[in-house]
Amino acid sequence: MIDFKALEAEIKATAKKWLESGEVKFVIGYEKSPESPIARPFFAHTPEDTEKLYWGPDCINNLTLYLVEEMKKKPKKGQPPFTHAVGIVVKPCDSRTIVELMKEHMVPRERVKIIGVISEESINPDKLYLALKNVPASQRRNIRFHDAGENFRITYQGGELSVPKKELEADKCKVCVVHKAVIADVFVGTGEIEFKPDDFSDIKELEEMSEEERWKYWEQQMSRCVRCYACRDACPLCYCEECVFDREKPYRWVEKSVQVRENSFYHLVRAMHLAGRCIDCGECQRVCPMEIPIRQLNRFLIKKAKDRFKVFSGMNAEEKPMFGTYDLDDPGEEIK
Amino acid sequence: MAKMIKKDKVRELLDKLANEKFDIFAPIGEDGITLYRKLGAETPLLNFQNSSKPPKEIFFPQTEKMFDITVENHRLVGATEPPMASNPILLFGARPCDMRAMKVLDALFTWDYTDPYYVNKRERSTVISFACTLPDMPRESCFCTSVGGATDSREGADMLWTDIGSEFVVESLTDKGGKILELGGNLFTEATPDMQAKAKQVSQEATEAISRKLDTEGVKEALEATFDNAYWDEFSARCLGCGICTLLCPTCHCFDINDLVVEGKASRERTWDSCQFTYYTIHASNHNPRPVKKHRQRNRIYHKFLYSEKNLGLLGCVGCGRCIYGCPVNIDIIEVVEGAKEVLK
Amino acid sequence: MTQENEAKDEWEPKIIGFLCNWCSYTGADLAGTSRLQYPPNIRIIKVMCSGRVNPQFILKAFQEGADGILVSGCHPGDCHYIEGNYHARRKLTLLMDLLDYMGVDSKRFQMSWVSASEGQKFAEVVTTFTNQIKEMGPQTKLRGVK
Repeated sequence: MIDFKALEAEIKATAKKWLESGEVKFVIGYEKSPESPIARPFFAHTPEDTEKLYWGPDCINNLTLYLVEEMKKKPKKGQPPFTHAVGIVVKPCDSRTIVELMKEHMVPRERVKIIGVISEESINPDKLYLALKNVPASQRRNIRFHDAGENFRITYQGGELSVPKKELEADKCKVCVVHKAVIADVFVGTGEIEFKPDDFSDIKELEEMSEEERWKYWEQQMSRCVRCYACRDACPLCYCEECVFDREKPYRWVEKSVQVRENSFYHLVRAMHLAGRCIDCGECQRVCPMEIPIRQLNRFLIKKAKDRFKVFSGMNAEEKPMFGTYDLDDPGEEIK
Repeated sequence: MAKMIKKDKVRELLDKLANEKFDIFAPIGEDGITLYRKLGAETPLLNFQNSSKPPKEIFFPQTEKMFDITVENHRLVGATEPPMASNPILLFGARPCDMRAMKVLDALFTWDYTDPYYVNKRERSTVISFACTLPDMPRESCFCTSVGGATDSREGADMLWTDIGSEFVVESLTDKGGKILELGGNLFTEATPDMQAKAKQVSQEATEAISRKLDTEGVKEALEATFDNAYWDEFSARCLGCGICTLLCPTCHCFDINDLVVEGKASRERTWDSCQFTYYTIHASNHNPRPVKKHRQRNRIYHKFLYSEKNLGLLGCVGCGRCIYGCPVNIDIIEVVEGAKEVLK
Repeated sequence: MTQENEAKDEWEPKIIGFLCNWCSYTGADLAGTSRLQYPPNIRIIKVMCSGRVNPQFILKAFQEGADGILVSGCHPGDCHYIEGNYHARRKLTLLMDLLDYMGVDSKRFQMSWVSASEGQKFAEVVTTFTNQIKEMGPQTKLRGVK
C-alpha cells in the first residue's frame, strides 16, 4: 500500500532542499486545485512554495513539457547561455520523455534534477468524473486519494467513497512497462512492481478490421477534430520552434478548413513525427476535447517501430533517434 | 398556456417537423461525448451533459465556404456565392446558457455590418431550449447564475422544455414557438398545474446544485487596473497555448478568411480562429504584439469581461463552464478573475 | 457499354514519381533514350536522393489528387550520399504501415530500387504499378472526396 501523504512529504523536502541550496532555479511539480478533482502543474520558485506541492494518483500531466519550454529559452544577444538547472517531479512514464529529450539534445543532463516517484498507476479523469457522478457538484472539493489495497478511498468535502482501482486506472497505465523512473537523481517511494510485457492487445481489434471498416472508423474520428492542436501543444516531444502546421511560408502544408481531408493529413503527419519517439504518456488523448483516440495511432507506430527496427523509445539516452540512424538489415520486402 | 409532451412522442414530433422541411440539429452521443449533429432517423439525446462543442456551429460553422472563385487562363474572372438556403432550421435541445451566448453572436454579426451568412441561418431558425435538470446538469464547472443566466433562462429561445420525468413541460415563447405547437398538433396536450409546479421545482433544484460562484462586481475595475501586473505571468505559466478554451466557447467568434485551391477549384472560406494561437496576431512584418502566452490568456479574460461589454454591451461569458471543464491544465476562469480582484485589493 | 464502364474507361490514374537524381531519374532517362514503352500516367519529380522524400510529400500528393505514388532510389549500398536510401527505407516503410492502419491501401504507394543502368526495370516497374492503380480505381479517401 502506498502512503501518498508520505510521498508528498518526501517530494516537498527534496524540492525545498534544492531550492534552498540554489541548485535549481525552480521545481516543476503538481498542486491540488481547490475546485478540480485532478491535480494541476505547479512551479515552486521559493522554498515556501514547496508547501503547495502535492502527490496523488491524480497527478496526470506530463510535466516535462515545461522542462523543454525552459530549456528552449535563449538569453538576450551578447549574454552568456543559460546554465541554471530545473527540478522536476516525474512519474516513471514521464522519465522516459526526459531520456528521449536527452537523446535529441534538448535537455542537457546537468540542467535537470529529477525526483522520480515510484508509484502505482494514474487515474483516468473521465473515469473519475464518472465515479463522482452521484456526489453533488457542491461537494466535489478537496478531493484526496488514499490507498486501500484494491480500492481507492476518495475523500471529498463532507464525505468519502471507495472505488476499485481498476475502475479508475488510465488506459495508458494498463500497458505500462516501466514502473520506476528510468532516470532520476532522487527516488521517492519504494517497492518493486512487476514488469508486464506489452502485447498491444488494445489495438488488435482495429488492426483486424477490414480496410474499409478501418477507414470508416478513422473518417468518423477525423471528422470530429476541431484542430485546437491541443494534442500537439500538450506533447513534450512536439517542441519545434515553428510547427509545420503553423507555417505559412514558403508553403502552407495544411489548410485551416476543418474537414476530413485536412484533419487526417494533420493527424497522419503528427503521428509520423512522433514515430520512434513517442513514449505513450497519453497526454494527447487525454487533452483532446473531442475524444479522438490519438493514442491508437501512436501505439501502432510504437508497435511497428519495435517489430521492424527493434526500437523502443525513452530507455537509453545513449541511443540514436530512430530516424537519425539505420540498420543495413532493416526489412524492406515491400520495395520492388 | 403551458403545454406538455410525452417523451415517447418526441420522435413522432421530429418526424412531423422533418416532413415540413425542417433541418433538425439535435444532441447526439458519439464516443462518449455529446455533439449537435444534423438529425436523421435516430433518436436524439433527451438527457445529456452539455455538448462538447457549443451549438453556435450550426449558425457559424467552423468552416464555411463564402464563394467559389472562377479562374480562366490563370486569371480571376468572377466569384459565385453559393445560393442561400431557405428551409427552416430547428435547433432541438439547446442548453439555456448556449442560447444566451447567441445574443452575443447576434450583436456581433449585426454590429457595423450585417453578416449575410450568419443572419440568414439565424433568421431561419427555431430554437427549442431544454432547461437544465438534475442529474446530468449542471456540471461541476457550471456558473451561469453568476453571470446573469439561469438554468431555465428563456433568452434567445423560442420554446423552453422542462424535463419532469416521463414528459416535458413545454412553454412557447415566440411566434416561431407557436408554429411548432401548431405543427405538433395533438402531440402537445395541456399541462396540469401540478406539472407546471414540478417544472418550476426541478429548475429550482438545478439552480441550487450550481456550486461555482463568481462575483462579477468590481471585475471591470480590477481588470482595468491590473493590465501590466505580474499576476498574469503567474497563472499563464502552465497554459499550453492550445485553443480549447476559445474553440469550445459559445461566445467566441473570431474567424479567419482564406482563399484555397483544391484540385484546381478555388474558393474563399472562413474558419474559426483563436486568440490563443501564436499566429493569431502576427503582422506581415513578422512582429507579434502578443508574443507570449500571458498576453494571449490575458486577452481572453479581458475580452470576456471587459471588451465585450464595451463593444456590444453584453458580458462575454455565459457561464457554461466549457473552458474550465476542457482545460488540460485547469486554468479556471473563475479563479483567474477572482484572483485579479484580489490583486487590486 | 454501360455509362459506368464508359466513365471507368475514360479515367486515367494520376501517378506521382519521386525519383532520385543519381539512379532512378537517370534510369528513367535511359528508358526514354532506349525508346522503351511505358504508360504516360507518371509525372516525375526529381529529388536529389530518395532520403529527401519526406512522408509529408506522399500524404500531400495523395491529398492533392494523386492516385498512386512511386518513390524510387538507388539500390541499398549504392546511394550517392552513402546512406540516404537506408533512411528512406526506414521512414517510408513505416508510412506504408501507417497508411494501411488508417484504412488507405498502401499498395497505392510503392517504393523501388532502380539503378541508372536499369532502364528496362524502370519501364517494367511503372507499367506494373500503373496497371495496378488502374485496377484499384481513383483514390478518394485522403482527397476527402465522397
